[in-house]
Amino acid sequence: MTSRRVPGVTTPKGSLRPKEVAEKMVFQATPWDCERTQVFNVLAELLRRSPGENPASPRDLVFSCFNGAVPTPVGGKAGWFAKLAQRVGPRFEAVVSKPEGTARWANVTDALSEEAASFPVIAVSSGYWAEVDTRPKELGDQEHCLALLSADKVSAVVFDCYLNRICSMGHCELPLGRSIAPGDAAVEVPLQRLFKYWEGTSPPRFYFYVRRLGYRLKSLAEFEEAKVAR
Amino acid sequence: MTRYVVPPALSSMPNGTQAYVRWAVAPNIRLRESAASSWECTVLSRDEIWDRKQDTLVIRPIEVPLGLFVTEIRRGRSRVLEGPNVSEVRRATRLKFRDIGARSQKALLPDIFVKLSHVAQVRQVMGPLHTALSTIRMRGELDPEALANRRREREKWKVYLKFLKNEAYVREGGVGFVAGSAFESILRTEGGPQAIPLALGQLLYDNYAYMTEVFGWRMMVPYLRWTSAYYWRALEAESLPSLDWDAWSSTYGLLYGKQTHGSPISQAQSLLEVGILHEDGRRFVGTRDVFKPYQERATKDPVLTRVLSPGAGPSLGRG
Repeated sequence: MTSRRVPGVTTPKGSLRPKEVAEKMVFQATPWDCERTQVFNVLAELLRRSPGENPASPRDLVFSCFNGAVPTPVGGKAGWFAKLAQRVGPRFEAVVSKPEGTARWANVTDALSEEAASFPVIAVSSGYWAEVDTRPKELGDQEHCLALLSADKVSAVVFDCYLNRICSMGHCELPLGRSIAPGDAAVEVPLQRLFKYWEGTSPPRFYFYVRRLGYRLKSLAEFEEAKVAR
Repeated sequence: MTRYVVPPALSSMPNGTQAYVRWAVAPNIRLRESAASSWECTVLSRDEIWDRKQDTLVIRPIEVPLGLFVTEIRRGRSRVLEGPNVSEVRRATRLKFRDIGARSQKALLPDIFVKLSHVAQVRQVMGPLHTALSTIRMRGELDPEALANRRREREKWKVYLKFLKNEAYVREGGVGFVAGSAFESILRTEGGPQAIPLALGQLLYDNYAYMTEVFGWRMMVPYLRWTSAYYWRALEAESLPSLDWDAWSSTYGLLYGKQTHGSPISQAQSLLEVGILHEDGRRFVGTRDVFKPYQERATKDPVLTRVLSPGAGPSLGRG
């Protein structure tokens, strides 16, 4: 994937600080909602970053989902992510899947550096809960989804949409019951450990992101309006 | 002599629907009820391992889990609502073998790294970690400023030292860095020079994919794959078969696709030189020192166990 400069992009993704990005993201409402929440978060961020005057075409977004196309208990050949795409917004052109063995970390970092793409969302295994000092009983050994906000060769910053609940259970430094702001949920994780959690999912190395095809997008307000209408 | 490893009997969906699924998707598909109206779909294949020396053919069934078929029963007849199609089954099978290959490699790593580190290319690629850990072992501390003069090299060392710090192999102290808790415990077990290959083996075992992809250390990949290709067959046969070159390279193809890095023959030769495999005429045989711990570790891996012994374990969702 090569980085393409798209007209209408006012804020290059590279200049955003992870905490600033996380401040505008939302936490998940229920324990089983990480995938949908993260799709919303990265899509909303992409739309916020490129408020355009031109009306958006129905074919202006690609929902790229890697290693998620293997039939899952949720959805057979359509897969869970197609249903997810329907729920989040009306304009998804395609679902791209990539053979398991060829999804590499470089693909994720490419999506991270490409201006026309959203921040990538990666799935992590249950080992990740050790990073936030807890394993929520309500989730057991379940996997989780994180939005990757920045990464270098040894560390990465992720947005954990479940962290407010973890903190409200008294597992972080805040007083019990006090919630945290989304900006505080940008967690720095050593890359080698994040990499292990990413590999430990089933199917391994799952990630997705949304990419624009070169058209300007509608504003976030219009996007949300369309979502409500749907 | 032919030895069959017999799989346990499987329950199946109603005959008519099963016949349809086999006709529409693949004849060797197996379906097991996982919940009401949903059927776990697996492909049952068989591998043949011909031990040329003993003249024994082991026929091993392997089961590759693919996903779910959802059916409904209407007016007494069941029909399929959702399920993988032919191309998805093919693709999922291919992906599953890649996954098997990766897991098999991981199970092999701790036992072969010390030998693998004697391969010139592998030793060269892990040089920076070798230098850092050796300095700490011999001098008790490491001065990062003394490692590199140029700015670009200093940046590179910063990355490696942060990596070692994250893994608790070094910690800040002395003139820069001293041994971290993980390295200290290795030094307590093995105080001599052998502590370094042991530490590097453990690091490689824990971070193999990370090192090959993020650090770009792909030189070591083919050696591990060739080793894994032989020992996977040994795991299936539950013994150390004497394989010829064709059988060995076809297993490599099955697990990893076409070999693209370097010359296969010279890589195989390197494995013989360092004693990971032995030559027997024009055939190749593994060693018991590698095979036994590998077998033990592989049987603890849920995916490998599932493939080799049909019938276990649901897949997990996400929170």
